[in-house]
Amino acid sequence: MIVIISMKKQILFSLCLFALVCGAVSCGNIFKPSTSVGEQIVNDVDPNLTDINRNVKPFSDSLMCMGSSMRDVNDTFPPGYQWNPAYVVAGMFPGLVTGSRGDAITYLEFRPLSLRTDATIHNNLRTAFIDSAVFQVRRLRINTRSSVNGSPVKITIGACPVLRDSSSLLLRFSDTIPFSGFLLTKTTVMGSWLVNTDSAGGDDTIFRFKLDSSVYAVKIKNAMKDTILPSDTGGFALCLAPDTVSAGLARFMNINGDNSSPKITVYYHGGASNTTGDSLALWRDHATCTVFEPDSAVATLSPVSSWETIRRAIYKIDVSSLANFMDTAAPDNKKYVVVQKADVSIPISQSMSDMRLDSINVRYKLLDTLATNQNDFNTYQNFWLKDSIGISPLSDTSYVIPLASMLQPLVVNHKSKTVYLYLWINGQNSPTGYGPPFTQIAWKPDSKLKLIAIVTNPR
Amino acid sequence: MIHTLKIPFFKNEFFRQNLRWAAIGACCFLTFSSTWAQSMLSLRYPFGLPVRPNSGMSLTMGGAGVGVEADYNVMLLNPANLGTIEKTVFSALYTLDMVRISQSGDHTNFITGIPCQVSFGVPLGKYGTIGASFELQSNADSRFQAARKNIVIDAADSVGYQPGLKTSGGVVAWQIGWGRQFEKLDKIKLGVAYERVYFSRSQSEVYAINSDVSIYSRDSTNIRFSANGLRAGVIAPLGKLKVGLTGEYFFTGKAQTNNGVFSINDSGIITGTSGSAFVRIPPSAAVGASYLFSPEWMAAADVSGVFWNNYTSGGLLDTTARNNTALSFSAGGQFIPAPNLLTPKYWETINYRAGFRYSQLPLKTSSEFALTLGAGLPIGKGSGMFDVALELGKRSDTGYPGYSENFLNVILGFNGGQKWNKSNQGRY
Repeated sequence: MIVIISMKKQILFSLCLFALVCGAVSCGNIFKPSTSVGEQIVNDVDPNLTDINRNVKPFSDSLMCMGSSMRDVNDTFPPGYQWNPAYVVAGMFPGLVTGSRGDAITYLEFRPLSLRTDATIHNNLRTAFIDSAVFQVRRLRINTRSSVNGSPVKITIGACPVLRDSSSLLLRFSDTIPFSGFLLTKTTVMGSWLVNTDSAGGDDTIFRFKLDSSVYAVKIKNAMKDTILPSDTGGFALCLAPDTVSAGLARFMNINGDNSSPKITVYYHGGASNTTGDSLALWRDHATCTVFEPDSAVATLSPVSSWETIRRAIYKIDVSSLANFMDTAAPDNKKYVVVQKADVSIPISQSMSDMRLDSINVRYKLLDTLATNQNDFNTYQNFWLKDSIGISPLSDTSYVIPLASMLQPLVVNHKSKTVYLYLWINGQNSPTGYGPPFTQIAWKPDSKLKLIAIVTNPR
Repeated sequence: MIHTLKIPFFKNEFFRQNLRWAAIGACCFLTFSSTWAQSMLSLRYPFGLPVRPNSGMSLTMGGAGVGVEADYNVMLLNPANLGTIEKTVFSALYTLDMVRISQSGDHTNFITGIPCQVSFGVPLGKYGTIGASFELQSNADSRFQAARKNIVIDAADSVGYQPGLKTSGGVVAWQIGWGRQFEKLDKIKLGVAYERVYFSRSQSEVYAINSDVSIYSRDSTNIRFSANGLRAGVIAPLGKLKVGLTGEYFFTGKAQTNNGVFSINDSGIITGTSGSAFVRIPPSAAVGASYLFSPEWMAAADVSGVFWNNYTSGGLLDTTARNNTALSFSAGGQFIPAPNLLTPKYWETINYRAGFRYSQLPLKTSSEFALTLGAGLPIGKGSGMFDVALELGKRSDTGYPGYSENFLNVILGFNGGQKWNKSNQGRY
């Protein structure tokens, strides 16, 4: 008992001592990390540091905008942009100009090697009767904008020609798909089906469509012929295109090797005496989306950023007034060397997205040369642009973009007088998780852009 | 039970155990305390605010110790003290520095934990004693941020501007020394030491713009150099009076400097320069004396000078420092109630000390004054000493009227020792 009481007292006393020290240290509200007292001493160290009239200067001016243009990832103005995403798209998306539209078309290619290389299948099919062929895709239900997708999307399915010459056996080996020609040579419109638009998202839906067996039975039989060289394997393709009157986009999953990927299931039976049926699945072997950009008329009037074509809007800006200010406004024949703040107001004309978004992530970058390749855009900054409703123009809306860190090396180190402001849309991270929305922003081609800047540190 | 409750609060073993745990806890905590020493005046001093290496004993006596023979002073104030040491000893000092910077009714409080020194002394019998130490010799830390000023850009826009100056660094040194008592020379003790000093100072002028967010850029200059130094000292016993003399000389060192202007929020360097020059820390000397009135009472006093006329800046450091000698005076006393009792009460073994000091600082117009009060608390049976002291002082500069830095330092000293080899004398 004596020991216990003694220990308690010892612990209590230790805690009191410790608390005393801790209390002294932790009185955070009375101890500060820095002081504003002693400014005169600081002035003796550097007379300029605290002098607001010498060490820092504000600059406010309208920068001359020397023109605006657009440039895409290939540094060209292509008729369409193709990509191979985890989902494919078919349908129509509205343009910035009322009534205008852009088209998204999916090309799916099936290369039934297994018809000839798998001996069992080959033997079974040689004498088999093709009952039917069913095309299947899994559609993504996304939260689309109801004002855009007021009616179901009508998707037409066409059988596409597949070249069989030795140099370009399949279209997949071509560098580009001649899209206009592709539409024209769509040999058979096999049908169409309606995809209801969704305003609230929801579960994925599997769509099945029975193909015209008179077309595909022949194609499959041809693909199995012994006269076809191994290197000359036959194949066939489908295209998913918007109907001329449809509105809206339908997105389909396109994960290679996954059950969600587009496939054709061929049902057959082994001749008249054999009624036992069987089926064979042909997975899509290649997929390409092609997008036709709308609003070519708008492009001549205002710079446009669009995700679907990775189009970048460009402002060519004269920053010589800021450069001259930094060189001449400092006291004692010094020059300001730091662009501490440089906010440019960019006026926006209108924006459009097919998905419901709270805001659109806009990336931007400042260069003093015209960008020539994708690497020029590996670094960037971004801001969020509030999504507009429908195609209503955002009149008199400007977004203030902080450019100081980008302007600094160009004006101070490169001595550049002209810079190019690139604006594009981040399509990599959709809020829905189903890929980027089809989004376009038209910027106002104003001749002047307001700049507010603070420059510091005369040297 | 009743008897247990009447255990004296300061009973030896009880208090010793409590002290040990409280000290360990406090040290652990203070290790993580802030590291911002603050002296705006130090911005004007080439190497920052001078910190004179002290043991707990000397510091609680106002800093006097050049003429004192004490184990736990090791070689801090006078390398000749090594000749006194007959057991392996160590000494360490930690200061909790609380400063109030005031001017024109405005003030700011700071708190800083600073490990000041750690020293060792190892006796080698007839060959004397060797010592080693690592110590802080000056502190150049300060953080200033001006009050927000408004910059009007146009009729619609304005932003706040808050320039700042941030400095960190100082001088640290490690030393090795040797000292010996010369019996044939009236027990005079002589000591010498070699030291390697390292100076670094990082100073950033920070320009902060405050609008929706804070944006800053900085203009930073780093200076660093290392140099060699020599120390020598002597302590002469004259009965109860002991007189000490010591001096310290530094050779020039080549300082490297680099400057960089960094764009906003350290996103890149805009421009940079570098250079070098030879720098010399000013030499110093001190003379001190102590007098042992009785086993209970002892007094000591020091006068020292730093010879700033031998300082070389190379144009890299402040050139407005004084060009004459900066003098300092310190004095203090110690009282031990019962130093020779075989079974004293614990409070009778405590070393009660007090002192004061006055120091001229590197600017001609600035000086510092402090009063100290503390106690050395014996730990174990003569194997250690825990020093606790308070130092209350004021730093000011007549060139900055109304400006002052009042400080209260809580000082913790940790000392210990062990005699590994026993003398044969006295056996029978």
